[in-house]
Amino acid sequence: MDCRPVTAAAAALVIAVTIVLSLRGLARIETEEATPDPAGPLIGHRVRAWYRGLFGPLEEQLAALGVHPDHLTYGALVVSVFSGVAFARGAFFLAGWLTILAGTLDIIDGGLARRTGLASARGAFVDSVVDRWAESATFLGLGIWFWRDRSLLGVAIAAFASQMVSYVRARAEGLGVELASGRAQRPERYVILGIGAWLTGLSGHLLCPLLGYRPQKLIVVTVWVLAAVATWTAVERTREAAAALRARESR
Amino acid sequence: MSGRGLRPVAFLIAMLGFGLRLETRWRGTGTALLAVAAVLAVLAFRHKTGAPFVPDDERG
Repeated sequence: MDCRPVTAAAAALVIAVTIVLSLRGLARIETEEATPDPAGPLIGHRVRAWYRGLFGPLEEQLAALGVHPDHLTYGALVVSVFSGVAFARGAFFLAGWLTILAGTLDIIDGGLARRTGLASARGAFVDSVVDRWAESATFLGLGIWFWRDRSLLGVAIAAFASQMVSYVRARAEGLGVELASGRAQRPERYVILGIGAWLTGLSGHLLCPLLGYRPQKLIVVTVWVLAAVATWTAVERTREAAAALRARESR
Repeated sequence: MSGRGLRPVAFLIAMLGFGLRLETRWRGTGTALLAVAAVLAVLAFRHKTGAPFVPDDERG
């Protein structure tokens, strides 16, 4: 088994420096966010604004180069397929990074569409559908890795619940109910899976010389956390939609 | 692209480089990507904005 603690330590150092710089930037952002919404997303408005802002200059550059938002949407799908392949091979650092990259492309495509005036109902539809395929590709890879493990159940629950989070919202919107709530929306799921996998790969290489093997328990914990929060979000949204429909019908 | 715009790009390329070096046989490619990321990081930090990772429209 390959242990590469020096490379892992260098990566950890770069990540640590980036976190420090990011916190400095984050602290300077002012938002109009009032009291936190208990049913709102796990990632708050401030962090979302900061992360979107990070890629503002890149969006400008892409707009100047004439890149169409659809290219980024399909790019996110391709990256997610690679992420699935990396998960299937147990390359967790790479898989985590690719998951975060796919999530970033998913954010940039919307920003680019708004910036270039190309935001449309068709674009939103294609983006949502491609997102579901992309998410499935990632979970498929994770399922292949856990094929003979009990955690395959966790992967199945996480995959099913993640699709349900989106389906419930789409069905409710089809019935005229807007659903904005949900603790683990798509960005949260990207972050949980991406960072969990990333840390699994990093810690595995750092601890490998001490343990004689690369520990991978963290990815198991990540899968079950993801399964729990995605299920919770799907149930929460179902209850909210049902309550809104009941209130409408009783008027 | 501005210095601030290069920073996340440098980080993303660096992480791909580390990933390739850690978990694949493409160590040479990983090293080359780390070199590219280092150059981008140097270029990015030569622009003194005083506020790393803070977008213009989000500054307080």
